[in-house]
Amino acid sequence: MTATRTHVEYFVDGMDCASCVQKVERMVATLPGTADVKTSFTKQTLHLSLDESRTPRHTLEKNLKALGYTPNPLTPAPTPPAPPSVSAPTLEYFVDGMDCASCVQKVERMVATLPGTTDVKTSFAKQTLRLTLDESRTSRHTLETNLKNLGYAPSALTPPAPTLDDAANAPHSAPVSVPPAIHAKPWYAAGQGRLVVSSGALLALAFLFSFIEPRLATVGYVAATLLGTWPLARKASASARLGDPFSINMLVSIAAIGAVLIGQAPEGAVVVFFFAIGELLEGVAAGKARAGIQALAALAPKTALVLHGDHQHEVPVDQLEIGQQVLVRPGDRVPSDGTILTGTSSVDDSPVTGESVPVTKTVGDPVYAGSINTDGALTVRVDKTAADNTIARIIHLVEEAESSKAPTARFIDRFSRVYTPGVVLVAALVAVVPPLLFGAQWYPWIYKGISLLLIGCPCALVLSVPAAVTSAISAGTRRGLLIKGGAALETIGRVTTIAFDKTGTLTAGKPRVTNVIPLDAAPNDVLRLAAAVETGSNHPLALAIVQHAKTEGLTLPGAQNAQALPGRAATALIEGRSLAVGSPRYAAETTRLPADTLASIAALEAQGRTVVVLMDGPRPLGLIALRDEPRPDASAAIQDLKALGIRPLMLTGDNARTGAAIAADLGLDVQAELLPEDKLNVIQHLKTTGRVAMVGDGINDAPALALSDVGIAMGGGTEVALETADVALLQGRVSGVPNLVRLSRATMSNIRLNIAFALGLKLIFLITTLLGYTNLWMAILADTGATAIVTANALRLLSWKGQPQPAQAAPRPTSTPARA
Amino acid sequence: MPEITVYTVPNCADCAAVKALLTRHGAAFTERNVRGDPDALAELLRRANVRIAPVVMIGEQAYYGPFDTVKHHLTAALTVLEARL
Repeated sequence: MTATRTHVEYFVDGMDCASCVQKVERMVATLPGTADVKTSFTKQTLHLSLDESRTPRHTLEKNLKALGYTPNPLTPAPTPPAPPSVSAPTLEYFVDGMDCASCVQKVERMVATLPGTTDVKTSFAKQTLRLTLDESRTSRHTLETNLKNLGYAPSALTPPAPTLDDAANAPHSAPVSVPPAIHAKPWYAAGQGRLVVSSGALLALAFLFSFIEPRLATVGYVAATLLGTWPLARKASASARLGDPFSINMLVSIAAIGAVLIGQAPEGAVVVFFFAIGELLEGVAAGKARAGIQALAALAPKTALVLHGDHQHEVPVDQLEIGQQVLVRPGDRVPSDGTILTGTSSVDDSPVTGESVPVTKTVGDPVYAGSINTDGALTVRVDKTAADNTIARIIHLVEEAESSKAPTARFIDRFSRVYTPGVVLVAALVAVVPPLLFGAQWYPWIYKGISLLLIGCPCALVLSVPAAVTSAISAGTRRGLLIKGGAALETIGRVTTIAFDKTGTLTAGKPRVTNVIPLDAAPNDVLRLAAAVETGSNHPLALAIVQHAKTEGLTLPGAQNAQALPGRAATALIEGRSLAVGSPRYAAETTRLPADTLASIAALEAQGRTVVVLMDGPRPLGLIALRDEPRPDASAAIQDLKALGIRPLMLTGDNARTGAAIAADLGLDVQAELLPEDKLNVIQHLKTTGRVAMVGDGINDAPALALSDVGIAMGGGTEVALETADVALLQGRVSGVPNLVRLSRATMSNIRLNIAFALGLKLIFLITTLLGYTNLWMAILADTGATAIVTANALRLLSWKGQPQPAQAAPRPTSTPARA
Repeated sequence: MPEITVYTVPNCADCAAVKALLTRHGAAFTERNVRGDPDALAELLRRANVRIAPVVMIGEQAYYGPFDTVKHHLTAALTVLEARL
């Protein structure tokens, strides 16, 4: 049979965003007989070669309309709107490194994104790239820089244009690479540690000398003080030059030197010694909080076994190329994000998702770099370069998140900018006013002034927030809660409403056939014929019906003249009969459904199922019910949120009866039949009553996620979701949401406790010092002690476990047998 | 600092992602919605000869395509801009 192929081209109205293009491409890919599909970003057109005996043109057009795009056919010979190309020379490059088929594709795809490029030809034989470049749109320099960014070095084969800007300045952006795990030096070998050891040793020595020869001891104390103060003073002067004269380092330096000047060298030495210990603890704490994330980076293997035909060889992972096939043996770690081509195995994704139970994966399933392949050999197609692997992106995001400041941290910063100069002023007044105005003795009041300086030191206060935030973000990441910053971490604990998208968020997004009810046909016929009608459609319900027929082992008859009536029905000619699969509303328009049939439809819909009717002309042959099951932990997670005092709300575009049934099962409020822009209005409205979080897939809900106070992307491994959401839940579990709230609240109460403790301690010592009960070194001991306690308290968050997962998924109440 | 314009359409996840990326890099930009705004669309066509949002114009250089393909190029360009500051 010879296929009659025609080339068709449409201007597609409404296909004006990148994801719209992808949607169209995916739809076309499901149609049989389509080839050479090209969408043009420049012209907003769809071009393809179509075998009309398999998919008629109007089916394609109907499907486009069903997606919400209006196709306008263009003349078969497309005349490009010929840009007035002033300068469009033909360029040819030898591209060093472009030596594999996928490299060529990579180059072609990159060039395709540049405006003004035409007639792009790559030669496999000569390893060259040839193109016509309109340099008024894209400069040669940009093209070459982009090639270099991809890792290919172009050398021009055409004589270079005489012009050309600073090609020498062409910046080579370093590829983002996985940060190497830090090789932590032992604490005593690092700078701060050496300082602690040496100033401590001097202090001890001086203390011993005080028994033998007190004057030598004083020298020792002075030396210990100066040694300890030197690095502080340097840092203090550096920050003074940067416009922050009242730094903590400045306070301690003044106090220590002041102590030496009034003849209290031992106290000065103790002060800097304790302060050094405090700083050391701070460094250890920060390192400990980050170690959890750095450890993740170490999990990705360094090399991979690449398959070349029948032999294999080992290459470093950063040289893996997209499209290559790698062998992952049992016990190995997966070297790259990819798709399984052959094999079945249990894969432990815990490094990436925090999900510790291994998942059985087989052909077609995605795997992540760093996951552990437990029991079977897998062949995996590489889908991402080393720098783009999910784990590398997660580490990168977490590092950014940890360096971003939570609002409370910013508040503390502002607070200490006022507070610290205030302390200096008060200390100066205490030291100077009583002796000058009231004739008091100088010495005790200077002593009190210096003590006040130290008491006022806001170390513990300043440290309390970042330590807690860093610990919490680390703890969250290891449990699959990727929080992109301190602000999101703070806000999520304060939301009053959490809105959930239904499909793909509360449910798995994969409807399955639950009931096949024959009315006027054999049960197998209902499924067989309905699936035949739906073959070729990419509607989720259609896919589910076809899939179910395949699992039942049914052979589908061929369909002719398949058509889609968007949102209502699909029709086709099968075995000489004109059949339709449609919504109950469509069926009711065509014929009068018997009362008992209507009753079963209503009953099924009230169970949260979506019903379609198979019709032979006006005669209903049978009903098929489908249900998009809620995720196993959704119900428990919703109850959990309510227990936390948060109102969960479901937003869905589904019909009201189905939506209400699922919402009732899960026990939350629902707003159904919403268009995307309605969701925005709902969020906007909710925001007037309190803070709102929105949970969605990050793709279809991106605007709603952006509008809410905290946007949470579920199962979010895609670039778009990771970029737009404030939080990504890496496991497909709804229970991640209440756990986020818990983590946020735990963090905030940790911070509040720390602030209260630090301020309270200071208040006590302020009073006792002014009254003369405590002295200088007690004050500094209190501050160091507070720092240590506050840090230790913040580090407790590292071991935060969240609510344990429900012991097992509650079995769903399936009240009706699969076949009635 | 060259001027940055982002051409977007409503309800577009890639557009949101591109804007978030620019914001994260601290790059100031002007947003123009091209759906239902013939002037903006004409401007986009004139500057980039592209009709599919999002399109980021940094100076006279256009970046467009699905977010996961364009992200790398945009990040590189923004890193260069930051380095020049």
